[in-house]
Amino acid sequence: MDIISVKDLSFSYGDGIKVLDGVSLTIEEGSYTTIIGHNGSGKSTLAKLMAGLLMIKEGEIRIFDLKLDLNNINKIRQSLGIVFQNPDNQFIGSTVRDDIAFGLENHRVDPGKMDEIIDRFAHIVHMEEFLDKEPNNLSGGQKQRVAIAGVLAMGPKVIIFDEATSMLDPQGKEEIKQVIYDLHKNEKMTIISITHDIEEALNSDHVIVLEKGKKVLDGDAFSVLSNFKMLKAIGLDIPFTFKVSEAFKNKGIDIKKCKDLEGLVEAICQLNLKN
Amino acid sequence: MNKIVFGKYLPLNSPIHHLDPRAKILAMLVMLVAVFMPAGWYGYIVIAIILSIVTMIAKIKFSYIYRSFKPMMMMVIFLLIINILSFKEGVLLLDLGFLTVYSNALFQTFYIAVRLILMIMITTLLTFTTKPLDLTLGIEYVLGPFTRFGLPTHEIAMIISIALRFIPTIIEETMRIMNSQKSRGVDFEEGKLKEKVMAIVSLIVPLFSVAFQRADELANAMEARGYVPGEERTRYKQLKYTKNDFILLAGSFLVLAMVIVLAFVI
Repeated sequence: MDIISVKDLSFSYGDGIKVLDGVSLTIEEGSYTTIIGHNGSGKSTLAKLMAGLLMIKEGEIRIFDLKLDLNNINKIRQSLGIVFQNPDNQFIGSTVRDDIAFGLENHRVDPGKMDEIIDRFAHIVHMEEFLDKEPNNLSGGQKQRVAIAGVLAMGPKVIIFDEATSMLDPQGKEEIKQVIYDLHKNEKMTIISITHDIEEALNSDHVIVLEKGKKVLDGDAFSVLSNFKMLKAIGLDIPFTFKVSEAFKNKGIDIKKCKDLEGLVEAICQLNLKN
Repeated sequence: MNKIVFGKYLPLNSPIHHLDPRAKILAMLVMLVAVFMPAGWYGYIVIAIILSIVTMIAKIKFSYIYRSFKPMMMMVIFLLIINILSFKEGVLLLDLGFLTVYSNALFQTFYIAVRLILMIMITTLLTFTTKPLDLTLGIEYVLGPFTRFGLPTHEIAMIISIALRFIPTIIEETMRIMNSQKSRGVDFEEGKLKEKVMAIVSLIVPLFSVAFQRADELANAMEARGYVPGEERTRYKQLKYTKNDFILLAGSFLVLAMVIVLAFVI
């Protein structure tokens, strides 16, 4: 079942240049979708439009079969959360606890129930020991985990991660990627990740490639990321394991494409055994 | 720059930190009124002693309070110049022909400086001991009665809270930009006035740019989490007066009463 459908969406910021140009796509419920593309390809604008943070000028977005407009925006926002790039600029509360409570207060949750909700979602992102800490005492990855807990507390079915790992150190990146993976796997959440991380895209269910505001590729991760010709043409990277398979193929050795390093090593070992 | 403490919250575990923000705001207003009473030096000594006791109970180092006075030094110098130019009473201390300095000018400057110090001490004690969001709540409740006259109390409180929350972040950003500009040869300390002005401009322009970008991203994050200005919200933190809050309020009114007696009766 499609949870989000975007039809003929175009957008410009007022300077006349189309940041999005006739984009149509669908997101399936429970899927892990990555949207990749260069800076300026329209990825973040698409995310902001889906989250109702920008007004739709041309085209249509339907979320849970509700047309995204001013009448439905509050209802849709309760089912769709967004985590932004810079963890500092989304930390509103003075402590982790207060920050998670911010969205609950906006959605008029009974104050008596808030502590239980805060504890539950802080536990999911492994921040239960930091509830009374201030933002200045947290690392970038921890702040980003708080931002995720703040979004989760509102009970969304879909979360958009708008380059949520791009400003983090390697450890912070891994922490957030693990949290996203757990949310998808354990909480059965629909994930839309806007990213430059091609390895993350490889491990998702569905990949959409944007270039200069247009959708150029859309499909399952394997087929989209196997389209080397198109990816190279628009200057996007190719997953490491695919690169190795391609290098073998160029030497006349056919080796199956693998999503992870272990699979690739296994395939190479199999090849060795055959010979 | 990172030593600026004005507006910061100090997360300590003291009885003052646990007081209701409404009580602290009201006590602060009462104490500010007391500072403005013409009670003379005895009145100020009483206020200073009370504030020192509160500082100690709050477990705040006096060096922190002292650091919060530093930003107002320019204002004291400005006051001194104005007073030297306007007060021509008392003992003549200096006569340069075109400029005369009388004792009353120095006395008035010192008098106003003491008032300023006490006012800053009162307000920093509030921010040192109250979390920004608690402060927001307190301000909102205290301004509550004015809502019926159309005053957007919640919005005012939210703006203050966010401003306080972002002070350390903006200071960090300023340090980063300063270091970045220094590495490109900008000298913030040496040079002629014109060069110094140019150096400050090279700091202010990117700082404003970053601040606006941050404000935009923060607004997006708040909106995405369902914040609509003017809309009804519930409150995670439920404020409740305790015995200590009434002691604080009674104490502040007692100080005000003492100062009024010193000002108008004795």
